[in-house]
Amino acid sequence: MKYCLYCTCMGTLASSLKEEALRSALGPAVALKAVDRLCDNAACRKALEGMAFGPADTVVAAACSKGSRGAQALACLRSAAPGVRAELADIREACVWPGSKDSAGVAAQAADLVRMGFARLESAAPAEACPASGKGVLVAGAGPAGMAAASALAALGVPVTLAERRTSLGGMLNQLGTLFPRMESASSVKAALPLDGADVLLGTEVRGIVREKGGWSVELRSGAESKRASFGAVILALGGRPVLPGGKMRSGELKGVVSQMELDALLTAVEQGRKSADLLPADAVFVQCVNARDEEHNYCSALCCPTAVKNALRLVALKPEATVTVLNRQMVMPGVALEALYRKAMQSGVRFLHVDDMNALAVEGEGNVRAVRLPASAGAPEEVLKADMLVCSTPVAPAPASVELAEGLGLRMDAMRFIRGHEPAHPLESDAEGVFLCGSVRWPAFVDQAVEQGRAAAVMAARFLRENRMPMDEMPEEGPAASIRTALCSGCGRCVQACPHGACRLGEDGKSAVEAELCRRCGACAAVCPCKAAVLPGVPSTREILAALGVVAPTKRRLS
Amino acid sequence: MASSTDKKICVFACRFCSLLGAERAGRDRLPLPAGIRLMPVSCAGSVSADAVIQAFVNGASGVAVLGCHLGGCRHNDANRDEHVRLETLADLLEAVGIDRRRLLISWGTAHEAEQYARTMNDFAAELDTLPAMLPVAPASEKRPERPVPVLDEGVAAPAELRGKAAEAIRSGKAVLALSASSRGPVPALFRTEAELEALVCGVKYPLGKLAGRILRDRRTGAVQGTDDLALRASALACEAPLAVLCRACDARALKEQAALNQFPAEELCFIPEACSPEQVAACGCERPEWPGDAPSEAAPALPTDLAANAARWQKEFSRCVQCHWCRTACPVCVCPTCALDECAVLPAGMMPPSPLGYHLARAMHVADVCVQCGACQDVCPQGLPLLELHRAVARSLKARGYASGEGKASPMRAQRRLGDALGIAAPEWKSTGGKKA
Repeated sequence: MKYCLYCTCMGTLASSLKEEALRSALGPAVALKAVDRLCDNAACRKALEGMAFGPADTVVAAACSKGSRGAQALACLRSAAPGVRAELADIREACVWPGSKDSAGVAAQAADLVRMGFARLESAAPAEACPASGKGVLVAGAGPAGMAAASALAALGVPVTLAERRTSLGGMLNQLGTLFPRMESASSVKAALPLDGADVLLGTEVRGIVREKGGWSVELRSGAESKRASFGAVILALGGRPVLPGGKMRSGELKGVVSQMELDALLTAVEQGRKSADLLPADAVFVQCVNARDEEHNYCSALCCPTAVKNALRLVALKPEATVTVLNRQMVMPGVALEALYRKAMQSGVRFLHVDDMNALAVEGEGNVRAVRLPASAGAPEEVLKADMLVCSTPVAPAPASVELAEGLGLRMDAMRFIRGHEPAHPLESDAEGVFLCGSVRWPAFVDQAVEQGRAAAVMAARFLRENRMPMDEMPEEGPAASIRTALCSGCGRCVQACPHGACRLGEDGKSAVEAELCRRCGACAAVCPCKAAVLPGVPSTREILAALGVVAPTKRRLS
Repeated sequence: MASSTDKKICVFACRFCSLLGAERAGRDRLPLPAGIRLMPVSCAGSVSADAVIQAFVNGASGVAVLGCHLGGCRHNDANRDEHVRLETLADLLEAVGIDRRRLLISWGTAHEAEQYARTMNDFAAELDTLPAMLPVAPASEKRPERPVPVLDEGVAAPAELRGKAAEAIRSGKAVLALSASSRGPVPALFRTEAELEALVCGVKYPLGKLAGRILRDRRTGAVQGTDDLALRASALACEAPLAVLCRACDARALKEQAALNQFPAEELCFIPEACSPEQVAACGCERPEWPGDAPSEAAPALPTDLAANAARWQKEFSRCVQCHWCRTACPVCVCPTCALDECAVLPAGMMPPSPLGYHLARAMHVADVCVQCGACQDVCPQGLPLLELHRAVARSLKARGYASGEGKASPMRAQRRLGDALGIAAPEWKSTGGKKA
């Protein structure tokens, strides 16, 4: 039997849509009962007193729209009559309330809307709940980005595993004593990222990441041991690889030719009193863009210039009589804070000299570095700079581990092999759904940038896990996922191309299948499938369209 | 009683935008047309062409598909594909005389109460100004005098073609082509050069469908279905790779079947048979060139007189006896069971779709894979000019730079792009002076 419960909204609809008018418009096939209100549990239970619904019965609640109290009315109805097959017909916002209609028109439209509700019930597939994965997040890499991500996830109460190849936390934070532009100590940044509640795996390498049902299966290798674990989302925070001078500027040959990172470590040791200030140079020459912006590293990392300025300031602070000359193609100091740092360095006596081509520099000395000879350039004569230390500023390149993982996942990388996200709107989302990016896997990042990105990626991963919904989506998914009726599927792959979320894929049997965890219920598969093998509950069926147009479809007997 | 209540408008409203507008319009008590039948959808991209056709065939005066603005779809641009599908459908509707203004395709115009009310009231007002749609009455019209193409005898294959076939056989392939027989040209599998004596060409024969079946049989390892069983059984038994001697349309059909994952594309091998100008004229073919060759001249425009189109197609469709041979002959119809006559789609007890609905739905099902070979039209016992429907669709897609059988991505299902959003490449950092080390 078909039942229609007409919610008169405390009697306010009864004058525009009379119960009798609706009853006659619906005809004898539907048993109509007007009730005071459905959106209140007690009232709903009272309204249903004495009514019993069998498994073959269907109920349409003729009430208000889902966006008003309709969803609540449906919930009350279902709690008052557990197991009932019920649907909602919005007759208030979509029919009674809009003006300019005669009463017959209102009744006819309301009856069609009710019949459309019954049609939805008839064509509905049995509901199948989408299983929540219940899995946690893997953060690969425990540098500033990874630590920030893991720390934020742990604070959110999301199960998180932090895997680090090295045996200590911190990554680049361990190499840098002081951080530009605020000159705070790296250890204070590390201390501000607590990892209580996170599962920290040190000495563990993250290997092959492969898709599995409801998430990602990851190989975690620790020494000779290797195990697979499942995660709902993955955050890649593998950082970058600092490029070494590699023989440029006679490094490795002359003593005193060092990299900016070596100078950083020396300054930290002197600052902490572990080494004597006598080890600091009297005449330091910094050479920027060593191995950078050349054929192999065809880009500007944008963090070697600030590092050089930071170390120049630290050097003159520790040894005020020291001279520092920074040879540069141009100083890249973006932002107000870094610009202020640059001016402070100039005021402190640090000399900045423009050099067109670092390869034209001649490094002089035997055993120890003695001087750097600058070639004559337009308007400037040849110049010889005295130097007892030559510091090479080198760029940051992608880490081999991040390139390897990105290749395995099929993520887009740029020409320099940094991993690309979905710029510009979703730069931390990778091409693989549920894999997020932060820190220098994307592009060389300052420590504060890496921390910010790590936190942002953590929030996105947490939102992604919760209810399996699109990170930027405002409204949660409704109802069961799309499915493929295999017997009807031709394996043509139209749904695979049309699915905007990559949830449809062709199986080994040549038929399509929907991965429920990835399905966002858009129905694109159902719209393009010519064999009607792809179905999404809720997409208007033929039956519903016929009901909307008042075409009565027989239900029992096949006519032809 | 021809009040506006009778003019029903099916409104498919995306729940992320226009459904909110519709709800608010009701809440604000804004006047709305009485004929509106609101159907919430999770994305405008879920509205199939079938649903729109169903609505029109069953008496809807207008259909509105309302979604988020293009670029603002909550489902990764699914509405861009929908836009192409609906615009193509609108072109097809015009071809059979249904005014495209009856299909309102609107993105981002109805997410607020006032906007929704204005959009719907304007739409209803426009529908009132349109001439009435002709009823799709099952009037019986006699078959036209137009002759149905029959197989002619063909001609013995020229030496060049025979040489190519012989070469294919020498390289270990089996050649699928037409052979002279007492019943006229029949498809045959040529394994030896001696057999090539019987090779004929110059006949319009749908070899694309047969070759596709053979390749599919090889994939599944069994001959299924009812057609050409003996030939397909022998083709399955023979291990040799297949070379198909066929015309350009058959080649396109086979390429589309491979693109629909019916068999691996590597298994395709063609011996191209060029169509003579007489054949091209007889088929009315607009694409006689081989896939990849320079396209032929632009096709003439279709008649745009809606009333004439409607009157004409009403007559044409009224002759349809729903034998569905058009579907059986179609080389790119690859579904194991056709949705258009399956109980799984059509609730038991419901009438099969009317001829109008059937042919429109079929044209949209194969919209971007149809190669305009005309097999549907050739087999139609009632002489329906079905190719014109498919050409209307093809022309619509051609305006978007798409043509079937050329290995292009269909604009109807291509939005899932993973390309670089900004397209920024790294700058060339070159030294301003000195030489490279």
